[in-house]
Parts: sequence; C-alpha cells; structure tokens
Amino acid sequence: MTCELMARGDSLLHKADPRVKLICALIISFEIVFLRSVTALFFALFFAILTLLLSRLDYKLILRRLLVVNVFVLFMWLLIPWSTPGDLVFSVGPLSVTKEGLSTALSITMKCNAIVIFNMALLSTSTIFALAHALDHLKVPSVLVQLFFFSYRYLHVLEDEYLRIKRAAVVRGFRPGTNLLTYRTYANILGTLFVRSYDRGQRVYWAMTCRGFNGTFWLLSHFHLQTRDFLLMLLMVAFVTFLLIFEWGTICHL
Amino acid sequence: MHIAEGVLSVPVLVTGAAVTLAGLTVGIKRVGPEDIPKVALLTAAFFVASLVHIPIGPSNAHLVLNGLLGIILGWEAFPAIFIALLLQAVLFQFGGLTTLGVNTANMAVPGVALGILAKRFMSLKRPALSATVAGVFSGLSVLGAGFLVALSLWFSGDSFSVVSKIIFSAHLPIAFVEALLTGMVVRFLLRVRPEILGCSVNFAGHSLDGKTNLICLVFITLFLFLPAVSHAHRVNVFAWFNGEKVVGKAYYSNGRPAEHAKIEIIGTRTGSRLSCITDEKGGFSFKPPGKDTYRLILHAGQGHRATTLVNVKIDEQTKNQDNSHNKGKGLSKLQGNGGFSSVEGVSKDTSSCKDIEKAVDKVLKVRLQPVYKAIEDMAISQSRVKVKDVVSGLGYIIGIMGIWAYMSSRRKP
Amino acid sequence: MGYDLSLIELKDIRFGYPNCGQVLSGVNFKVRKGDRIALLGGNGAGKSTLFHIILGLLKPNCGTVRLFGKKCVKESDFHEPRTRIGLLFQDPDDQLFSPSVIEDVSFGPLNLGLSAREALDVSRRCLKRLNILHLEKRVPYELSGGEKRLVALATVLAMKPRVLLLDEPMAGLEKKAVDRFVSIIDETELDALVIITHMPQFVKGLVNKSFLMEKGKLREVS
Repeated sequence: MTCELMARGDSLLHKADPRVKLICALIISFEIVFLRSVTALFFALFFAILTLLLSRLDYKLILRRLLVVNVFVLFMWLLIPWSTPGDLVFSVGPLSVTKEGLSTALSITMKCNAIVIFNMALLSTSTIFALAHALDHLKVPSVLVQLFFFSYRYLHVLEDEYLRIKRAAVVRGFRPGTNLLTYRTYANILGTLFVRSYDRGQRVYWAMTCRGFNGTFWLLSHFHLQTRDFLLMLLMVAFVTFLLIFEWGTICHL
Repeated sequence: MHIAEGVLSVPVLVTGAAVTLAGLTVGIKRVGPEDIPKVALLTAAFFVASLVHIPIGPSNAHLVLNGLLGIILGWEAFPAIFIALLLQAVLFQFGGLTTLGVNTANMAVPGVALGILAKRFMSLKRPALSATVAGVFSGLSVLGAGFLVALSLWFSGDSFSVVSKIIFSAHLPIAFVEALLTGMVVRFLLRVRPEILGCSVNFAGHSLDGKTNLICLVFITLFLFLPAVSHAHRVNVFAWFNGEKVVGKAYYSNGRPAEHAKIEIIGTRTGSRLSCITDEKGGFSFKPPGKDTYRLILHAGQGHRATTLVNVKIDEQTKNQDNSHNKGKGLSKLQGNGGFSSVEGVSKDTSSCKDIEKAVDKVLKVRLQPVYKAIEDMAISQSRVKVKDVVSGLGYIIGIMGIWAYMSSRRKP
Repeated sequence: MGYDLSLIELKDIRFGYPNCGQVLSGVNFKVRKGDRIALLGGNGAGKSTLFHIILGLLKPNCGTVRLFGKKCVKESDFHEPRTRIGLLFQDPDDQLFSPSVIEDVSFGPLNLGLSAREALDVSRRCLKRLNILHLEKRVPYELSGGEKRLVALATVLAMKPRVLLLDEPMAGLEKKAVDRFVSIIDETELDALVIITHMPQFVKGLVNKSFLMEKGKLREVS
C-alpha cells in the first residue's frame, strides 16, 4: 500500500500546523458544498489549484488521484444530463439532454474536484500521526483519536500479513476466478487475517498494560502556532470571503 | 460505496452527519481502554480486507464487510467504519470530510442493526445455521447500504433518479458475493476462534446508563425521520396567467406555504429576467413584460428549488379579455365573430344567452388550461411521492428492526 | 528460606486454552534474587503463557501467583508489580505502537507518573545506553528487525525494572546483533532475569540456571 505519499515534502503546507489545516479544510469543504453560482464554483476551483501549487506536490501523483475521482464524475456525466427534468437543449435518440442536467453535472464536477484538491493540499500533506495529534488537541473524544491512531499504526502490519497469507496461497497454485473454491480460499484468508489481528490486538493491549497504560495517552510534544500558520489562516479566510462575495453577488443579480 | 464530495444536497449531508454523530457517541461509550487495540486492529483488518478484490464474472468488486463488522463489533462498528472512511479520505482521497457523516451512516446503520439482529440467531452449537444466518444478514446489510446510498442521492435532487437506481442495482451482485463470503468467514471463525464472534456478546454485558439509552433512542429516531425530514423540504410551485398578471402559489409538499421565497422569472424566448418574493401565504404575482413562455424558478432556501412554465399569450388573451368586457353590451361584435355564425336565426334573447354561455365556456377553457395542467402536474408529483413512501417505508422497517435488535441485545445479558 | 527472597513464585499453576486442552498442568516456579534463568522447551510448550500468567495478563484456572511476596489475584493486584517486572514480547510490533521511537520509549515512564521532561530525559539516556539514540525521531514500524528489537528492549528498560522477562529476544537476529543484545543485558543491573530461548548456546554466559518446559510441567536441567 502506498500510503502518506503526499505527506512527504517541506513546503509551507507541509510545515503548517495540522490543526489549522484541518479546520481550514473542514470550513472550505462545507462552503463549497453550499455554493450554487457557477462563477463562485469556478473561483473555488481556481483557489483550490492555487493552494495545491503552494504544496508543491508531485504533479503525477496529483493527476493520478484526480483521475480516480473523475471516473466517478464521468459516470455522473453519462447519466445526469438526460435524467434531469428541465429545458430541452438537444436530444440524442430517445434521451433528451436538459439545461438543468448539464448545469448539475457541471456543478458536481467543479465541486468534487475543488474539494478533493483542497483535501490533497490541506489534509494529505499531514501524516496520520500529526492529524491524530491535531484531533486530540481539537478535543475530539480520546477513544476516537486512539482508534484512528492505532488503526493506522497496524494497517501496514496487517497488510503485510495479508500479503504473506495470500502469497502462501498463490505459491500453492491459487488462481482467483468466479468459483466456490476461490470464495472459500478468500474466506479462509480473511478469517486468518481477522484471527491474527484479533490476537495481535490482545497482545498490544497486554504490552501496554505491562507498561502501566490505564486509558490516558500522554502527549510529549505540543503544537505552537507560528507566523506561517497565521499566513495560511489569512489566505484561507480570504478564499472563504471571496467565495461568499461571489456567491451572493451572482445570486442577488438574478 | 462512497458518495463523492460535492454531489449531495446540504440537508442530506447534515442528516447523515447527525446520525453518524449519534452512532459514534453510542459506539465510543462501549469502547473501554481494554478494547481500543482490539477494535483498532479489527478496523485495520477490515480496511485491508475491503481493498481485496473478489472476482465476479468478468469484473471484480471489493468487499463492503459492514455486515460482518456489525456482527463482530456491534455498536463499535460505528467508530470502526468512521475511522476506516477517515483514513481512506486522507490517504486516497476517496470521499472527504463533508460526506464522512453520510457515508458512515449509510454503511454503519444497516451493518450495526442487522449485525446485532443476526447475533440473536447465532450459536456455537449450530455452526451451519449460524454461518447461513450471518451470510444472509451481511448480504442484506450490503443491500441496506446500497439502498441508503441510493436514498441519499434520491433526496439530493431530481437529477439523481436514474443514478440512484443504477447504484442500487450495482449492489445486488456484491450483496450476493458478500453473503457467500461472510458465511464462510463466520464458519471459519466459529471453528478457529469463536471468541471473536462472541466478543460483542461480552461487550453487550456492559450495562448502559440512562443517558446512553436516551442517545440510542435519539439516534434511531433520527434515522427514522431521515426520509421525512428530506420530504418536508421538497417544494412545489404552480402559476397561471389571469389575463394581465401571472399569479401563483409556492408550497412545501406537506402543504406549508413557502413564505418569503425568491422566485426567478426567465423568459425562455426573449431571455428577459425578473424576480419576485412570495408573501406569507406563499402567493406571488408579477406582470409579464410581453408574450412569452416564462420559466419560474422558486428558490426556497437550502438549495431546494422547483420550477414551472407559464405560457403568456398576450394577444389572444387580450382579445378574450375584450370579449368578456363587451359581453354585456350587445351581440353585434360576437355575431360578427366567424365562430358564432351558426347561431343565426335563433331568437335574440336565447341566442344571446347561449352565446354568452359559449363565450364564457371558451374563455374558461383557455383560462383553465394552466390550472388543469397544474392539477395534472400535482397528480404526477403525488404519484412520485407514493414511490418514495414505499421506499421510505422500507427504511422504517429496517429502523424498527434495528430498535428491536438493540432492545433484545440489551435484554440478553 | 522465606518468601522475602522470592521475587516470583508460582504454585501449582494449571491453565488451558478453550480449544487446545491443558497447556500448563501444575507448574511450580520460583525466581529468587540473583537468579538468571534460561527457560527452554519446544514450540507451544507454554513458555510465553507462563510469562503472561506471571504478569496477570492471563488468569490461571487454578494455582497461586505471588509477586514480591504478595499474593496476586485481581487485576489491580498486578498493577504495581508490572512496573517492577519488565516483559519483552516475542514480536516487537506488538510492543511498538507510537509514532516515533522516543514517544514509544517514554510511554512507560509517563505512565509511571513522570513529567514529560523527566520522561524524555530517562528515555534518551536509555536509548544512549543501547547506542540507538540516532533512531530517536524514526517511526518504529519502518525500522529493521534488529533495530525494532533494540527499541522494544529500550521501552522495557526505560521503566527501570528489577526483574526482566525476555520472550525469545534473539529469534531472527544475526550473530553480531545477538552478541550486542547479550552484552546489553549483561550490563543491566537486575535482581533477576528469565529468558525464553531456543538458542541456549548464546546465553550460556548470561544464565546460571536452566529450566525445561515439557508436557505442561517445568523441571530444572543442567
């Protein structure tokens, strides 16, 4: 599994306080969901790309991720334009494409891409551990933070374990197909995976109690807001305000 | 399984987030310090397992596993699914922060409800029966998840009627494979390590305090009202031309008038634009600038809108208006009208009476046309609501099953 | 000989897992001050289980556990002894769960009630002693197998245990790493040491007693 590829780097966004990034991502994502005017959405996309440029991420990686997202968007384009009631624009055979359909599809495309780009720039530039740390500071229930953190910690261990079990099956001639044997093999592989992870969970808990764990997780380092964090906040506040102005401006003109 | 960002309407997103919040609260309460590594490890295992692609015919699908998660973890499946989705959002940009609530609720609600229910029928003594029950219920939870995904889309706008149907049907083969596979996994676990399946029975032994009970109740009620809440927000608008003005009414589907809502008026041919605001009773009127077909768009807030078309034929309408204004004055004009030539020769009084009747008839017909159309439209939208009622009825059944499962899981220890 | 000299005393311990019958059938085991014990036995003989019972992670079906002269039955009875008995798990991945090595090592000291600064101080000194201070900022799961084991040992030693239980500490390590491991243990000031191992030849210089676990019983060998 190629994880946290985007968390590597030393741009402004990589160095910024994950708490700030988390809150900014949350606010701006929800704002974009609310937007209705096409002009505002266009600017949302534009701002998103600007922010992404700040992160100086590898463009190949970005494009690959965007491609995945846009497969879904394409699926929407195939269906929505003709399945939305409204003014007829043109018709292809029995399907009549409507103006409303086209504008809905366009708005989905812009919203989806803008939010995903913002998420890449703001969230994926932090490591999971930094995010867990930030969540803890933002007073998210400690159980949830610990679950988040432990799940990620053992994700790789379990993935390795899964791959080892599967490799063991493959070297003995296992070839997946649509048949009962395949399903049973997968069921056994997954069952083994669950048993092993259950046991490991038990041992991890033991190892923790042996070192005096009683439910509280102590944090060693704490975040300190720095100039760059305030700069980032300022930039995001500017984006949010601009988008609001565009939105109100276009809606009031109608 | 995921709904991407930027697709769903705000009320659906908020409802989903509320349901997830409630479920998380209950789930978190049940995770003691000793359960954290176990739940986390199982979450990670499910994350890995859901990346496994299982071949189905020429294609392949990844497993959902919300049913198995519900069976193994019970209420703790809520935080588990939430965490898995959060990880996917950050690591792979599948889904995001705004849809986290809806996506979690869509997967976890059927998973938890059916998982707890399935547990009732499972026992170590009858492994074959237990595996079958687990399989069937996890298949159902995939269907339930697909159904909720479709429902979320359906309530987000008229555009998604086709999309939601396709998405729901795409879940059918997955549900089948998942049922088969989960049945086998449960069989495996019963033979190898039955305490994994038993763990949430032990967890159910944690007695809940009154506060948690209240939260459970709120959560389930929220789930039940999910369709109703979205319903209340559907708006209708209808309008007609009365000769000089276009008048109309805007109201929500539950009959409440849409007050102070903005109406945008666009001439489809001339492209002229106007706007007006509805009054307290949802009524509105405006004077059309000229002959045209006007598109009225009602913005009732929160992204909810409704549209209707009004045909304004100034020329014909004014002629009719002239007729009606003149009808008391005399018949010369009417008789001069070609259409009434056949009434010649009949006595003046009766003929004038009949003529007036006919003229009024004709005028009424022209005038009532939009009303007929509006009634027709209403009938159509009414029938659509019926389909939705059936759909939400299914939701209610799942919800009630969830309540029952929850109550019985509490009674057991 | 009084109880005061027994650090760990197990009496007639019986234990079985649900699906695989009796693992321990009447084990008697005493660890006195100055004991350095090698625990030998085949796979699945119940050596790790014995460690888990000593620390109260598993509860025996019958028999008594006495730690530092005090009878331990309830979970809370084990809390205090656990801070004085260090257990190194067989798989370092079970033991290392923090985002960085230093955080992992200071997890124990923090739980002992030390302030963040004291905990960091203790942990750094411990890492330095094991010669792995350069790993301080690294992510534990990205370390090599040998490094993971040393870090796991550091997490245990940072709590300054009086008794050390090591569960196959040398499995999968190369000769050089084993020697280093042995010399570290040798230099550590301890009241008692118990090592589970498959390689008695490597720990010869380290131990003064050997026990063999067989058929659910424990007996001393030479």
